[in-house]
Amino acid sequence: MSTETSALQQSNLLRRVWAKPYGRISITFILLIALSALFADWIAPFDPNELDTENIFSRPKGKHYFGTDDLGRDLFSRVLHGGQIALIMAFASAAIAMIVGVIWGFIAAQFGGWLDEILMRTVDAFLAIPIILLALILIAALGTDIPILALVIGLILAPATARIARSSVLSELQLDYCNAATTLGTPRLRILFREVMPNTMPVLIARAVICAADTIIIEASLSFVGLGINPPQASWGSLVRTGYEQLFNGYWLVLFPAIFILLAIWSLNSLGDQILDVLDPRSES
Amino acid sequence: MRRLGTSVTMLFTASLLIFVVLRVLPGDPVTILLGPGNRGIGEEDIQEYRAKMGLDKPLLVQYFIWFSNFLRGDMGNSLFSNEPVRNMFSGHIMPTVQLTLAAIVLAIVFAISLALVGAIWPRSLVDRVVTFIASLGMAVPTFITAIILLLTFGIFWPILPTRGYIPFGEDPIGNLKLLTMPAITLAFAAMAPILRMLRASLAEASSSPWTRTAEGKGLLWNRIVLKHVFPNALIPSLTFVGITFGRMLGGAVLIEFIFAWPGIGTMMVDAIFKRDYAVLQATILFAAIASITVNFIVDLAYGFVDPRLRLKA
Amino acid sequence: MKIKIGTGKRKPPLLIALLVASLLAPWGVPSGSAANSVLKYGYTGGGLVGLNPNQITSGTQRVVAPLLYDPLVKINKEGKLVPWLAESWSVSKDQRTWTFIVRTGVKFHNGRRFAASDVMRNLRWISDPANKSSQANEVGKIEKYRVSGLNKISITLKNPNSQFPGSLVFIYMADILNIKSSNIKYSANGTGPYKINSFSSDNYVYLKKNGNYWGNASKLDEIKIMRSPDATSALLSLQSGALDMVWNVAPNSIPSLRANKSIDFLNTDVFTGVHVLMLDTKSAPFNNPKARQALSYAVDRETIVKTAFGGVGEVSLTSTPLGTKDTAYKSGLNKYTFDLDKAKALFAEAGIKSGDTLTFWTLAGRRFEWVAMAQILQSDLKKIGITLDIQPQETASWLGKFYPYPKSFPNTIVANFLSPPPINAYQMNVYTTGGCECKWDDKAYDDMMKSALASTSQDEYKTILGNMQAKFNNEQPSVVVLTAANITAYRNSVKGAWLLGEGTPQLIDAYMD
Repeated sequence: MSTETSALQQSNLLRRVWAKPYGRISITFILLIALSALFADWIAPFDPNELDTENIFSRPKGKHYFGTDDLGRDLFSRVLHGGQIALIMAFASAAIAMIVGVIWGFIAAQFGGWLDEILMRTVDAFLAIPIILLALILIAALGTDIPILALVIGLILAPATARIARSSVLSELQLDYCNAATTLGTPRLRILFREVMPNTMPVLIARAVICAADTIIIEASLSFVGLGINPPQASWGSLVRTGYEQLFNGYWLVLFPAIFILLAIWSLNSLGDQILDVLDPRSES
Repeated sequence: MRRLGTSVTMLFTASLLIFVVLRVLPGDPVTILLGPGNRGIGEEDIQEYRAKMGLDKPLLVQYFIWFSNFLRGDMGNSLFSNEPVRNMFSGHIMPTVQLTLAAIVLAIVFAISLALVGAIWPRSLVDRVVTFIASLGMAVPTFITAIILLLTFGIFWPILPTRGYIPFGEDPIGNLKLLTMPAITLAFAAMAPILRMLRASLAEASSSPWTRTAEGKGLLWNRIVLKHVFPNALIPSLTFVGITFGRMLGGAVLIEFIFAWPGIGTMMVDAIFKRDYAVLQATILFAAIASITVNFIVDLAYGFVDPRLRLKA
Repeated sequence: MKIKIGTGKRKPPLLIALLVASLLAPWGVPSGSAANSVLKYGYTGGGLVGLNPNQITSGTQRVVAPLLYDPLVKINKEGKLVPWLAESWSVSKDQRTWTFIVRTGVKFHNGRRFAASDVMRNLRWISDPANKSSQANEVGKIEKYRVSGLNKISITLKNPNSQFPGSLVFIYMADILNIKSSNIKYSANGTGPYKINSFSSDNYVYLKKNGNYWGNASKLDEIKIMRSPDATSALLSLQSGALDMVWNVAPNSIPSLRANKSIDFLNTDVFTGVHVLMLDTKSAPFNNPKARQALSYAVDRETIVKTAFGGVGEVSLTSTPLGTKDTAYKSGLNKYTFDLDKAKALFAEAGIKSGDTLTFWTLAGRRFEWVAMAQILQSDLKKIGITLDIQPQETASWLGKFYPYPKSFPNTIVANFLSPPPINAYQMNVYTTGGCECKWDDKAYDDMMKSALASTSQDEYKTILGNMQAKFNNEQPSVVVLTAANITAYRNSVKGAWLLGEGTPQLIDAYMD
């Protein structure tokens, strides 16, 4: 494998993913969702927190594309703004997971020996505990502000990331170009950052995308048990939760947020898969 | 042997981790226990009660006491009901075991059937549908699947009971009926990664040289698939089954909550909200043990089944 | 690649087909066998940890207790005190010594006879500080007991209390002699119309009919009280018939449940529970009565009851603990009609101005009507420039913030539901010194409470209570939003159940149609 510069490699990656049909679909959906979230303030017909107590639980009609909720707020606007929260959290958590996880994994891979053992055993210990429990305990302890939620979820996703980072580094280190560089006398860290990292980028990007998807799932699950973000803000997860409680007052309260969650998670997962697929040497024909 | 050693250290680390995390949680079980109904309770009463339960000793000391008891089989008593945690466990473990076993069996059955269908008619519409189902299974959070099932089979077409649990011994049919929806919910999520792995392996195996040779010899495609391709494809999927099974406990938590299935998951969630340290420590450790054990067995089985892998580091 | 589709083995898909077919078989919904009439009662949230009636830790225990045990006196459907295990009672002139004549021929579930000495044992157990009984405050301080014969007991109180029998409605008679202290939570030995069949802590309790009951025979063979952690699936189960009754239904699901013809609601005319906004009367800014009054004006009670509470409950315009239908309700007090201008002015006088932030605590995962209420308040306060920060507290943290009493919570508004015994003295008593997390300690109020309890004249009693309400209305130690009860939804095949003032369903007369 040659040492292309990382920018070139990534645009190459993008092109190759775009070439696949599922790749196109997932990227499109993600862009749609991201854009609608970014421009929510302009697109949304109503203020998401504007109460209209005369008009509660009304069906989707007229300007209320998705109907209204238990306090008369427009669901469509709330879902769009929920997208903002989803975006921020997915981004933040994925970033935290990647930064912490990659450093963790890289150190373990590069230095090997007992440091590697300790770091990886800790990873295994974390992975042995069910995610939802860890999340519940930490959130119950630390509170439900968005920064805390993002931090906790990011930390929970870090161990698995570390493992992936480590194994990708290890497989690169075995390749000829690394041995060549070592023989030439290049310092280890230089090899790590200059040569190895760009080549592991695609795998890491795939992992980051999956982290984003997992963040949405975990946040939704936490909201379901009542530990989601504080009102009046609404994440998709808490919208599904309140929609479910008020199921009898209107199916639309659950339906629309759920669709958005599904779409977001599905496209992110799909994108991650497509990236990994593209990297798989077997599919290069 | 080495694997065993690492597994044990993992357990130890996990238990220490859990212990520390729990103890630094704000909120105090004694306050919850004695609290609200009782105006007469003051700060001293609470401290006195804490001392009685040994909660005032330094963290490390508490940890060693707990751990040594645990090794002897004494998991302590619930801080709330004073019931031995062991009894609570034995009361709650059967439902969870049943749920996870049923789910993994169903998941394997679903995954195998769908994968086969996809392999026998590759690149057809059916195949695409199967791929879609697989990716859906990974994208849908379990509680959404649960809601959909509840509404469909509980309300609109009420053929299944929506909550509760009856032990198998008492009423086998009732038990199975109650098991259906929770198990399918869990299975749907679990099946997806297994299915994907299976399809990937099947695809790989079907393009390998010896398959082509077999085709060249004129054997029917689906015979080939079933007799040769399939068993070989199964092997890599084993790990996934193992991993999935190990993580099932986490997935079971929400499902037990929604379906009022009184298993370990419910016990854990309650314990978190009540800060019942004794119960929590024991149950989380149990979850960790279960997961580590399953992975251990799967690793062993994997190495055993495929001799080629035993040579890899 | 050419593919010939032949007849291959199709075992796995066949398996699936079988599985699906068996699921579709018309099994129907499980129910009790035809011969047995069984009531399936579901409760959400946790709490049925033990069955000791003198150690009540959850609302659900209050539902179970009257089924397994009997108290000396009870409140009937009309809200009147009626004799139960006690046949009659009399009091000395100084309102301190109460003499009860208890029934004879009553047996505990284990066969032992119930006698007046058991009354003493139960009260002693409750009064013993070592037992930390939740009912200790209701019983109050007892100086001495005198048991004569099998059925007569005199209780001398430390302080005069003309309403003493009322305080005994939730004091149940258990067989204290035969319960080991390690076991008291579980072995439910009472005199009640139902007996224990099986019990699993915080999971279910199954009761069966007590054939030897002294009173009217119970009409149900079994009652199954089961936990259903998720509120919505409990309601789904109610609709599908898997449950016959669900306790504490979220108020805003009521309008839509009404559409279901087979579901009814247990309700009551006289609500005695109150939803309040608790404030710390000893910390800023709510140590200033003006701030409390300001908040009271800022609460749009009508909208809140209509929207957040689904119209179920009575708006408390005078913001006092007694509802308008209570016999001692004092009319003519100042009404805290929704008025943001007044609120703003009063807030300013108390030092809260535009740009300030107040905090609102709700319980995470429960009482969603409070979250809705908080959001309505938040939207209103925003109009006068005050920011309300809503923080759902997870139960353990919430409890830790209040208990042990007293704890400070400055700048915070806390939603709470109070359900004292449905007797107006006890509803007012909550606000005496040491009785409320709000830490209000008004000596005049306390004195009035004492004299009310010592009073022998109904008129005098009502007048004093009226004055107490006036004081409350003026000082607003808590902001009362509405009087309400926890609503129970049930399938209309269940008959004979009724609701106590604060929302505890009474099942002893229930039967299935």
